Formats: sequence, structure tokens, C-alpha cells
Amino acid sequence: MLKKYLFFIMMVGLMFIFRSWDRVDIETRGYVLGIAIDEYPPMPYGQNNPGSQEASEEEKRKFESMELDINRPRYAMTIQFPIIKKATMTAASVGGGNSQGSKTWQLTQAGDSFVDMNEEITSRTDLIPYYEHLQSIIISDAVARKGLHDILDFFVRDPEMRRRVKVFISKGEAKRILDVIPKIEDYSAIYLSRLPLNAKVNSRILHETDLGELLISLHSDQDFVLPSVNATKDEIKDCGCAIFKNDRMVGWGDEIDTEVIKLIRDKSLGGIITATSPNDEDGIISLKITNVKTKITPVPQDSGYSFNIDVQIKGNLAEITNQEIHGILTEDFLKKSEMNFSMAVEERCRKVIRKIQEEYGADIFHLNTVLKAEKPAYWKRVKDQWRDIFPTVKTNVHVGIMIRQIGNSR
Amino acid sequence: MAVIKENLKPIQIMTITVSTLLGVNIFTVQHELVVIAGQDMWLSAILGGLLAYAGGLSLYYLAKLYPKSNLPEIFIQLGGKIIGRIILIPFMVYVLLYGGLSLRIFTQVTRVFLLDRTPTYAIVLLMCVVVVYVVNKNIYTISNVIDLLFPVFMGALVLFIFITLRQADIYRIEPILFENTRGVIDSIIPAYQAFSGYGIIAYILCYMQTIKKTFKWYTIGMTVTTILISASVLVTLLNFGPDEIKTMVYPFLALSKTIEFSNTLVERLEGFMVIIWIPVTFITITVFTFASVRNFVTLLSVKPKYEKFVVYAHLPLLAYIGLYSRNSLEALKYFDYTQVLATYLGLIASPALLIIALIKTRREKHA
Amino acid sequence: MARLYKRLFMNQKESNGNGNTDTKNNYNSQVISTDISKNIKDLKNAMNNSIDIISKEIMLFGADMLAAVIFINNLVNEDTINEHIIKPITRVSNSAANFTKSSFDINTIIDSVITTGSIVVVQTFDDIVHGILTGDTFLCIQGMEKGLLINTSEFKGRTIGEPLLEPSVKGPQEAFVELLKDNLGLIRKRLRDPNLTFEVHIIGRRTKGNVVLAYMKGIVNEDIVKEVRKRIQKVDTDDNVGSAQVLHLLSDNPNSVFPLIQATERPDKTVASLLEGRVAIIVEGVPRLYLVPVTLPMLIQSIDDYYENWIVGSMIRLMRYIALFISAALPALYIAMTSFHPGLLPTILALSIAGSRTGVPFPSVIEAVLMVGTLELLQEAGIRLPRTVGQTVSIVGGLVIGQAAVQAGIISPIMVIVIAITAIASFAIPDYSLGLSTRFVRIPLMFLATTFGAYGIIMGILFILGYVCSLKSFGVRYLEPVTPYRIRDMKDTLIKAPQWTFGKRPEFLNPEDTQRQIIKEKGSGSNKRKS
Repeated sequence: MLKKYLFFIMMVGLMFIFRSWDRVDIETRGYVLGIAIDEYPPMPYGQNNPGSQEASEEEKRKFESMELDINRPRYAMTIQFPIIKKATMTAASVGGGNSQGSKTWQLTQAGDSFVDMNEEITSRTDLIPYYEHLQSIIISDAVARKGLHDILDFFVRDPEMRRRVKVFISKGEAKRILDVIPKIEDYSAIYLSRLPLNAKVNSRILHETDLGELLISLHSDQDFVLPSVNATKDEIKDCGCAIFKNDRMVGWGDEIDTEVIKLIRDKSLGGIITATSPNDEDGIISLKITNVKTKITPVPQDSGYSFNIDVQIKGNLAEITNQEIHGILTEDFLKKSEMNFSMAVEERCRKVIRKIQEEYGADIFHLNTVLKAEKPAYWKRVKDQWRDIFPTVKTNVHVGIMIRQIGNSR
Repeated sequence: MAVIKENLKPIQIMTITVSTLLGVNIFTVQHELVVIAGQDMWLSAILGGLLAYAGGLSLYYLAKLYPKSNLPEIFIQLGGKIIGRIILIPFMVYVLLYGGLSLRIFTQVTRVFLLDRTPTYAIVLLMCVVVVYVVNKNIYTISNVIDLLFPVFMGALVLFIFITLRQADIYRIEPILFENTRGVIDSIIPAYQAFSGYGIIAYILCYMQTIKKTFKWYTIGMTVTTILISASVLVTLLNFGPDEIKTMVYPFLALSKTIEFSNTLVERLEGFMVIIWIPVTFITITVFTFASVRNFVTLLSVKPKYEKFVVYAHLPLLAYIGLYSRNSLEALKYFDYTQVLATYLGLIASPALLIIALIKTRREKHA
Repeated sequence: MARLYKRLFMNQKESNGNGNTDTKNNYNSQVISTDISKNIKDLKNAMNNSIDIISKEIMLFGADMLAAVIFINNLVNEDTINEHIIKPITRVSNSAANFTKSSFDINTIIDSVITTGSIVVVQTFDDIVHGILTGDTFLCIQGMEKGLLINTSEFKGRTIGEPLLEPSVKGPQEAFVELLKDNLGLIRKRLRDPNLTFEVHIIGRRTKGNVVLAYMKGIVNEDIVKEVRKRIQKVDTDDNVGSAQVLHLLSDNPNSVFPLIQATERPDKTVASLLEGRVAIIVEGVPRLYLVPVTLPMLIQSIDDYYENWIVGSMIRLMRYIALFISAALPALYIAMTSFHPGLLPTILALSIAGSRTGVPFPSVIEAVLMVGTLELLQEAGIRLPRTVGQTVSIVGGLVIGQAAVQAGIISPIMVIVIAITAIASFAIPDYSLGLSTRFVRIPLMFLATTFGAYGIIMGILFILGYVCSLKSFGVRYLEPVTPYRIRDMKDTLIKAPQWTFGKRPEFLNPEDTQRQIIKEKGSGSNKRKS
């Protein structure tokens, strides 16, 4: 009888020998919602962030780079903790929410290695940073221009990090993006990470640019773009993109550029196209895009290939400004509008492609992928010189528009 | 007191085969194959599955020749008491090592994704205790547990594959098979090694009531496994691309971390992977331990009364093998060695034994 | 309790091989004498001259012959005795035209005089005493060596009322009572088939209670009946009061956490089970029947599924399976999610839970253990309170205590919600014993969760699965027909298929007659039983 129970006793005993090593109560973790990476020293605080100045410049510098035995630290990492006390959803106890000020606490730490910085932070707070809920990483353009490869290893190797963390490049200092106290959200990092979701209606926002995509591009030696952000005291704006060649940033692209890039890469989810109205020189017609399909085909030329880019856009007529009150929508009008739209888009595409080719020479349209897939033999030959060939490559853009619906009024 | 005579049903061959084969391999095979075959590794996965099926057929027919004996008993019948045991020893080593090293790799994966600071020995011991407990019951209990878990993890796995297809980019695997034939052919053997465990059919065929439908279900089981492993490989390729996978240690689990439905309760679906990988590995280790127990019992001619001590002895045995390697890379290295042993056993030894058995039975028939 | 167990086990060793239930009384072979007064004196002594033993002497044939009746007055219907025994005898003897003294013997009495039910001729004291104690009347006549035991029993008991533990919305509201005759009647009137067999055994050395086996001959697998019979005959205890001991001795594995015998108080459920090929064990004095063999899916079926539309019934049944899981695993899941893996929760939810937990002095583990303990206390207390007050107090008490604890800052509101859902889920399980099992299983899962998090929970679930899969109830595996897959039988487990698909009986019980119904036209609802 005892022998049968011996097994159970052993098991139960084993269970009590084990303490729990991993158990940390949920409110004692320091959830890091956002990280901003700047050069050290971070640029002087702008005038629009009075709230975050609590200590003088000198004291802050000392705090941030305390106890470091390396000469001059290269990076300053700012992490954003939510203040747990203020984090409940019940309106009753908090009462009003935003009027009480920031629900987050930003902490800046300088150093060379991110793991080292992480450890230093634990000497300044009582919460151990926990990265599983990291929402966004913001890198200042100064750091980006030096190359992303160095700073990314921590984010890849640590198992807490997720590949869905969104990466942004900030115009200027990255820290002040985190300092924003949004009016309709609690935490600026979450507000920022949700912005790209609007890509459904806005074709000027890049949306598939998380850490995972970034790493894939880096490892497969592709040029890529990352969204760029800018901020005021309580507002963050996603304003175009930053263009990367290899792993260094080489320039900015504005919103129109972003739109074209997305069109050509077949990643457009929605958006608006405007063109001149066929009836009226001053009028503007707008098309709300519902569906975009792009097909790039390489066409053999005498030396190399040129690319036929065929964009098919389906959309709904959204707005006609400056129209006569008694104007009636006719089929003819629609046909002419379609032509106007397609001409406008083609023109835009050509301009942007030319600009990127001439100014930056970075193949952010991923024409090399198409080449590799369709003409692998040729690709194998030119693989290593692609960066030189790309600026000379000819492209042929053709845009087809189909207006599906015209809305509620004629 | 058995009111109803117990035996395994043919459909359980399928569930046992699929669950045993889908072990830790589904996490490591992507990395192994990508360094050899690049972006065509999904083709090599399919071919590896076919090769495994061919190897499995040799063991199936061997088991069919001796319908009432499991594999170690067949060896004894083939070679006599001494030679049979000599043949048995490499199989025994393989089964035991595979079980223990699967346990180790599984523990590494769990530590990385779920429990950071828990020491390895704790995780290993807990798993060993539960495995030994279940193995101590008979094969029918084990197969019942597998039957219960099968729809759960199959459903989760299929759902998972479909969800990740949303983010797929077909360009990552094109051009297909361009100048890479050599790579694909080189990687067939590693892909075949990912299907380790198809030999379990030789251990369970003796518990069937009739041999009648077993072939059909075995084929279905191997097909399903091939499809699943190839799909997992394909889906990781489509999402990450070959260059990225080269830098990853556990590509399939990293894939689970990329699923995100914003703002819903199941915002992070990686939790569902837990439902898949822990029961799957548990079943693999349990079945292999069961096979190992059978091996030991036949090798040492243990009387049925003392069989349970052999089962209990597996607890320290498994734990020791699991804790032996110093770090995760070393464990993967030993795992590779075990797979190589499996290749020899599966592709060379088993068909040879089948031929010997055929000759022997033919001779006995004529005699 | 320990003494009882000691007696149980000791007695089992002493009993002979085939475990007969012969009572070992002292007067085994003593026979009655022809002298009536001696008989009466001896019988009364045998029962220690208890006050409820009544004896009455009757003069026959003009004080020539003496007759006597002995009975226990609180077990008999005295009217029956007067009308059917005493009056006929005196009438017969008085009108000497029918009988003469010499021709007045036992057989004539049986054939012509006594006008009521079962009559047994007895001789030994053993039988007589047993008969009197079961409500028979003993009639002995001066000069005759044998006597008569006439059945006049009328036990007082409850009238048939509503089922307490298994209420149903649409089904009949009859439940079993303590009287054996009434219970058998409730079954018989619903199952008017001649193959319905009631087999009686007597167990309990001192209680000598009746245990009846009910089964449908020709449907049930004979091996099951044989096994049940064998186990009942092995029972050798002093009593079977409460029949917990009977359960203990009948079930496959008395140490099993999960119930291996199903108790029910509904006749309609019993009849349905009998028709599927199960055996019912009816113990006198217990308002509950025991149905064997039992499997886990059977324990989750509720009789209401069969009175409702099948789609709705299936959904509710699925919900019960989920409730089973929730009741066992939710507190452990809470511990694992909040303490080990907050990364698996959505960000806003994680922050909100963290915010609601600020200021709570206990770690979430202690919180969970405290609340589960409180829940168990409340449930125990709710059973003992009077029925009208019990429900209110346990629910309101729970809520109030929870609210007060939250406001005092001892536990977090999330914990209260978790515990409330757990409690409600455990009530959704139809079988009470199964509910108790899930409450028990909660605790090891919580311990595993505190040490290993989600990994521990899954390991715990796998362990429980291994345990449950190895349980057998009278030779049938506990988790049939879910495993091994029996497609045909699945129609009544996870979901409930429409009635017209129930053509055959479940095959895992290996019935001898598999055809259950033949539908002439689909949806016509006509059932024909093939005999």
C-alpha cells in the first residue's frame, strides 16, 4: 500500500522543494512601453516640453551617465514606464484622466551597450524593466544616419522582445516624442504604435514597418524605408518616411513620396488621390481608394532590363469641389475623371522614382526582388552591382483607374 | 475483470504516428534546412517526408511478419537470443537518447519563451515525473491521452498556419528551384531526419486487433505529418525569407510571436503556441519512453511483475540525459549525432532486417 | 470513521471465499416447537422483548386449538392482519361446517383461508425472526411443526416529491424516495417491458437491507451484470446505512478522485440508462439510484438536453464542458497569467489589472489561495443552512464579503471576478460528485501554477488526463466514447445530435441488442422499438 503512495509523496515533496523562480507579481513589473534612442548627449530640450523638466541640465546629465567607466557614451536611451497607480480603467477612482498630467514616466540613461543601460536603469527605479509590452521604438535621425546595425542586436536577441514592435525615425530628438502627453490616449507609445493602423484610409503612412520587417530587410541586404515622426507638445504626426541604404539613413521622403512607394510596392491599403476636374480647371476631384494591385514586370532591353509597373486602382468618387450646383454626373465625366486620375498618379510616380533614383540611389521599390524572382539568371550576374545599376534603370509606369461608386449624390 | 477486450483501433495508428513525429523537430528543422537548401527547403521537407515513409514501410512490413511481437521481440526472433540483443542495442541507444535530448531541447525552448529564471533541472524533472507516470499505465491509456490531445493541437496548428499565411509574401520563396537542385538533394537526408520516430509503428502493431486497416491509417498518418511539417517550413519561409531564418534559433516559435490582432482579447496569439508545443513534445517523449521501456524489458528479460521498476528507472535516466549538455548549442549538436544514428538505423539496418526476415520466413515456409 | 473502516476491512478478511451474506445468528437451526406459548416466549426473547413486538392468541374451534400471530406493529399494516389473517381464521374455525379440526392443516390454511399476498412456510427461528423484522406476520398453530410468514409490510416513508439535486426545466418532477417498493414502481411504470429484471440481494449483516439490481435482459451485456452481482455478493459489512460504504466497495477504485458510479434521483434518467445497456443498483433506504458503468461524458449529460431542441441542447452541452475546464483551471490560469506571463495578455488589460492590484498586500498566489479557501467554506456552509436561507446567504454572503474585501484593499477586484466565475462554473456541472472532483483538482493545479506558471498548468492537465484515461468503471474506460474515437457514439457526447440519428445504442457498452429505433419517415417523430 505504501509503495503505491510513495510515488505521489515523492511528487508532492518535489513540488514543495521548488520555490518559484519566475513569479513576479503583475504590478511589480516595470512595463516598458516605448524606447527612444538618441545620441548622447540628448539634444537640448525644446521649448515645447516644459513639463518634463524637473531637474537642471547638469544634474540630469550626471544622473544619466553615472557609474560608467567608458569614456564617452554613445547613446542615450529613454524608456517610458506607465505609472501603474494611474493605470486602471475605472473612471471613478481616477476621475478625468488626462487633466491630471502625464500617466507615464520617462527615464533617460546613457551608455554604450543596451543591456548595460538596462541594468543601470534598475539602479534608479524599483521596477525591473519588462519588455514584452514594448510598443514602439523611436530612433533619432542622427543615430539612424550612423547605421542601425549596431543598435539592434539587443532587440533581436532578448527573448522578451517581440518582432512586432514598431520602429520610427524622429526628426530631431527622439526623446520628445515620448514626452508627448496625448489628449485622447493614455500613453504616447501606444498612441504612436496605433498611428500606422490608419493606413487603411491614409496611403501616406507606412504600416508594415515593424522590427521584424526591418530585420528581414537588413539581413537580406535590401534597402528599406521607415516611417518618420515629428511631435509637438500633445500631438504626434507621422510625416512621411526615412530612406535607408544598407543600414544607414540617407534622406527623408515626404508624404507624397511615401504614397508612391507604397503604390509601387503593392502595399497600399487605401488613401485619397486628387486630380483636376475635367469640367473645371480650378476644381479638384478626389478618389477614395478601395483596392490597389500593382504588378511589376521586367522587360528585356539591350543591356539589362527595364520595368513595367502596372498599377490598377479601384475606388469611389469621394469629392468634387467647385462644381456647379446643377451639374450632373455623366458617364463621360466619369471616364474623363478616370483619365485625369491616372495621369496625375502616373506623373507623381515618375517624379518620385526619378527623385529617389537620382538623389539617393536606394532601391526602396524592391525592384531587385522582382528581378530575382523572374529573371534569376540575370540577377545572379548583377547582384553585387545592383546598387550601381539601379539609378540607371528605366521604368514605365501605367496606372489604370476604375471608379466604382459615386457616393450619395449625383 | 476486463469486460471488454482491449486493443488499439486502426485510427489510433494515425494519431500516435502524427503526434510522435511532431516533436521538437518542428522547431529546429527550419534552421537546419535553410543553411543547406535555402529558399527551397519546403521542397526538401516534402521529399524528406516521402523518404521517411519509405523507411517506415520497411519497419511496417517487418512488424507485419511477426504480428504478435513488438520490435525488440522481433529482433530476438530474427537473430536468436544473443545476436538479437546485439541488434537491439543501437536501437535502444537511439530511442533513449532521442527521448532525453528532445526533453533537453524542449526545456531550452520553454525557458526562452515561458520561464526565464526557472532552472533547467526543475523543468526537466517535472516533465519526467509526468511522463513516467503516464508510461506506467498501459499503452491503451497512452493512446487515449493522445486521442484526446490530437484534435486540440491539430486544430491549433492548422489555425496557426492559416493565420500566418495572411502575412505571407510569395516573393520570398521565388525563384523556385533555380540552380538549387544540388542544395535540395543535399538536404533530403536532414529533412528525413526531422521525421524521426516513424518506427513507432513497429511497437504498436502488435496491439491491434486485426492488421486489416492499419496500412491505410499509417499512410494517412505519414501523409498528414509530411504536410504539417512542410507547411510549417513553407510558412516560416513565406514570412521571414531564407536570410532571416539563418539568424534564428527557433524560427517557428518566432513566427508565433509575430501574430497580432490589435485590440482584441487574443491580441497575442503566441500563447496558443503553448497549447501546441507542450503536449506535442510530451507525447513524443512519452511514446519514446514507452518504446525504451519495451526495449529494456526485452533486453534484460524482465518479468512482467517487475516491469514497473524499469519504468521508474527511466526517470533518473531521462533526467540525466536531459541535463547532460552544457548549453543549448551542445544539446543541438548531440541531437544531430542521434539523428545520424537514426539515419543509419532507418535507411540501412531496417531494410536489411526486413530482407533477412523475409528470407527466414520463406525458408520456414518451405521447410 | 476509522473504526468503521477497520471493521470493514477486518470483516472482509474473515469472510469465506465466495463472500456469502449468510447471517451468523445464534439460532440458526433452532426450530419452533409445537407449543405456542413457548414459541411466543422464545421469539420475544430473541428480540429482547422490545415494546413494539405484538403477539396475539386466537382461539379456534371453540378453544380447542390455539393459534398465535406475532408481528412488529410499526412495520405492518394492522388492518391487513385483522382483515386477511385473523378474521378469516376465526370465521373458518367458527363455522365448523367448512373444516374439521383434523383437516385443518397448513396447506388448507394457505390455500383457502388466508386471503392475502405472499405466504411462506417456515420452520427455523432464523427465518422467522428475519421475516418478522421485515414486516411479515408469523402465524403458528398449536400442534403444527411449521408456521406461516405472511407478508403484511407497510413501511412509512416520504411521498414522491421533486428531485432536489437534479432539477429539470421541462422534464417530469418525480424523484426516488427511500421506500424500495415505490422506487421500483417508478421504474416499472415507465418501462413496461417484460425483460426488465429486478434482482434482489441482501447485504448488511445487521441491517439486512435489500439491494436490487435492475437491468434489461437482452440489451445489457451479461458480463457487466455478472460483475455487479459478484461485487455485491462480496460486500460483508454490518450495515449499509447511507450506502457510502456500498459505493466504496462496489467501485473499481475507491481512491479515485472522479466518481466511478453515477448517482441519480430521476426515474426518467434511470429508464434511459437501462435502455442503453446499463445496470441500476437500488439500495433500500437511499433516495438515489446508482447507475453503472459510468463514463465522464455521461456525467456531463443532463436530462434537459433531451427535452430541448437539439441545436440549443448541443450548445449548452458544449458550454458545460467549458464550465468543467473553467471550474478546474481558472484560478490557476489567473495566477499564471498575472504572475508569470503578463506578456500574453493584451497591453491595456495587463496595465489595468496591474493598476487594480496596486496596494494589495498579498502576492497574487496568496490572494488566490485565500479566495479559493473562502469559496469552499461558503459552499460547505451553504449546504448546511436551511434551504430557504441557504441559497441567499451563500451568494449574497460571497458578494458582500468580496466587495468588502476589495474596498478594504485586501484583494483585487479581478480576483473576485475570477472566483465568482469559477464558482458559477462549478455549479453548471450536472453531477454533484463530478463538481466536487473539479473543486479538488483546482488545488494541485494552483500549486503547479505557482511554481511553474503556464507550463505547470499544462503539465498538471496532462497528468490529470493520464489519470482520467486510466480509470475504468466496470470494464468500460472512463472517457469512452470520446477516446478511442467511436464516431457513431459521438452523437451524444460533445453535442447532441437530432433524435432521428439515434438509431443504435452506444457500442462502447457492448449491448446485445443494438437496434434502438427505426424511423419510418424522417422527422415524423415516430419511434418503433425492435424487440
